[in-house]
Amino acid sequence: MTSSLREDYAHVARRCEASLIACARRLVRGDDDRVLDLVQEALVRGYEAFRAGKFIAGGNPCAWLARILTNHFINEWRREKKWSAGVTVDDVTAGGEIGPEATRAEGADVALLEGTLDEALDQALASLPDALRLTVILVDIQDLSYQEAAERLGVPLGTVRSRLARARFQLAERLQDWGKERGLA
Amino acid sequence: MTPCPHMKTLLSALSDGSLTGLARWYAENHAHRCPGCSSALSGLQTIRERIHTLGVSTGEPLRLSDERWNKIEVAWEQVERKET
Repeated sequence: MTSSLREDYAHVARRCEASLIACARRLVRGDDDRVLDLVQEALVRGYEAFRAGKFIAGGNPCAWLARILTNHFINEWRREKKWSAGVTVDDVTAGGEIGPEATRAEGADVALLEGTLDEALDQALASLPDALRLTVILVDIQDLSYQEAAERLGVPLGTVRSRLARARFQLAERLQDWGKERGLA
Repeated sequence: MTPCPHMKTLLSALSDGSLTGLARWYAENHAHRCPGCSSALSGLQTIRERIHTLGVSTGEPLRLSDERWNKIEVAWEQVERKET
């Protein structure tokens, strides 16, 4: 027999399916099976939390589930990272704290950036290294503070700050390239 | 235009309003006087606004299959059973 709590939750789950898939697609690049696995896992974990009274009535259930999904992804990502020996993204992408000197996108043409499509922005976001992309998603999409993002990612606050700077300048560069390829710049 | 290298992290923090105190004062004054940093700051603010309002991700439509929904239903039942 189906409990009414489950019926309520199932209704929310169905309603949030598309936004959770969109959220998972930003976290996972080009692997639809993994996207669906993440959403499936989030909906199960979400139900545990829902039954435990962790969802506050009046809140945005899709945003709440997206956070559960993101947390689960970050935990998996950190576990994978722990086991993969060698350099971290901070080693790879940093030229000092703020990234390679040669990046030229910093002189952003605002009109061009405003004119780029969501698709281009999504692709630019997807092309960032995991650690940079995750930081942008937490702070710029999910509206976490630097401190909250640092806690989620298990890194110092200064690392969040420098990753955000690198990510944003890299995004600007990629969007400018996108515009130039189409003769917009 | 390219911003001054030492300003990148400050401009990023200025673009999202997280910079405070003396650092904010310094960054704002510098950006006001420096065309490269001023342009970079505008670009960062635009990107941030665009990311924030980014719609549903593009790409082929993707849905959870009936099989996956059935698995989810089974998992929900298990959650309930674990509680009792």
